[in-house]
Amino acid sequence: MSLPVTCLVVYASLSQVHRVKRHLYQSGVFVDMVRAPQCLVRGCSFALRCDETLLPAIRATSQELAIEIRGAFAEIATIGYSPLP
Amino acid sequence: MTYLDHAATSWPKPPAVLAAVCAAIERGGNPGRSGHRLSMQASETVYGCRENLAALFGVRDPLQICFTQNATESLNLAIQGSLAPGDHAVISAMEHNSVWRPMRAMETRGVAFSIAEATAEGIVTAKSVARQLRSNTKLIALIHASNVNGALNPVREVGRLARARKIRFLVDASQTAGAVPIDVEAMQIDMLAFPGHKGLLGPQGTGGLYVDGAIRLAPLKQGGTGSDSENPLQPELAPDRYESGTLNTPGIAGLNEGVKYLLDRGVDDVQRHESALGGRLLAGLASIPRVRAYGPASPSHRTGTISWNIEGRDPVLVADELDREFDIACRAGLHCAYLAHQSQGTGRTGTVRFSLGAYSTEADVDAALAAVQSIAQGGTQ
Repeated sequence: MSLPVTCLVVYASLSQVHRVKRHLYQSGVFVDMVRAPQCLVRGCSFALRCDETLLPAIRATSQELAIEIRGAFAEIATIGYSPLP
Repeated sequence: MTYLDHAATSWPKPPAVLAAVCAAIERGGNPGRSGHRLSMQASETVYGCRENLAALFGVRDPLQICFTQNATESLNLAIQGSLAPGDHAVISAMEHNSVWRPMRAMETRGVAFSIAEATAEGIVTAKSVARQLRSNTKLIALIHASNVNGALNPVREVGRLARARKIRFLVDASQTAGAVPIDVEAMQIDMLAFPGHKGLLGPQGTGGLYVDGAIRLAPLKQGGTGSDSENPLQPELAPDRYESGTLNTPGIAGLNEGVKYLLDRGVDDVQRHESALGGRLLAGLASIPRVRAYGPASPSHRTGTISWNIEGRDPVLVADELDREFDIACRAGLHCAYLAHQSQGTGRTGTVRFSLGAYSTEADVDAALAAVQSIAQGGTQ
């Protein structure tokens, strides 16, 4: 049995993160907000942090709101972050 | 004190507004900058206010609302960010200096503008606006309700006109946000400028601008936005594009509580309340000899802002007497709206202005009427 994978979904601004997060919340989906690590994006960015099972919901909500995802990454203890398709 | 100066700033504020301002200062945190809990909590508060303002104004996307220091900054952003040399704009004869002065400044940069006349009651019709349109008109700026005499303008009709001609439509809601229902979609408003500290019951130093998603304004200022930091240019994304520098988080926290109060009570209820009191005040002023009130007679065509004069008396001295002798706070003079006073024939004298708010009472109105009656009869010096 594989362990659950934690993902980071990176956006251009914190306002966008809030908008997606609030929409998810209204659908009963709860996710965290974090600063996106510098190794993933240059400059200041923020991200949603969640279990990978929530990724489809996050992608669908972002698309519905026309908010671009700058990248989705899996947190892997040994190597750091691995891009997700 | 009888407070009748809500058109300048509302007072008192709901207790929750004061509590939220204090709590935000105590809690700390700079929204949209750091990733620690205090910063994230502050940003939750700011976003919550955006969301509530969007609900209040019928805005679908809360990110289309940017925060400013006041309506003046919002109007400057909308005007300076929209117009380029060779463009033409239409404003109305009832505009505040916060529209008139930026437009005069834009004239020196090669922008022309025309002024749509108002009726004798101070109402600017869509027909009057249409008469000023040119082939190169890029912007129509209209005050929703006059800060001088409370005249309500037909924003819906002017919005329809602007949309049909593909002209950007800016509404100054300084006197109506929180006092008159506003729906930017139904009214076809492209940009809505509003203060936080008047009808929205928030603290001074807060305000905002709704900008339709299809519009990209030139920002008034550039700087840190907490996003896209590697880019030497201002980000394209709203609201970041227009919000450089640390926001007034305590002020926005207070504003959020003011907006929540209005969402609970209903702006239509506030409008009914102010309209009923305004009718009482107007009728009372009309019954006092030597007193003349200005603006629309019908409460349905006005807000609770009423200008008046006593024949032969200087309005500033009358307001001073109201304060000293009767403990009544109001504003006299030109109300930073010379254009409107000129249009209404009071450009030389100015007026005394009573303005009602969400918490005004019949007792306030009756106290004001008794005081005016006394002054008009020469009861005090």
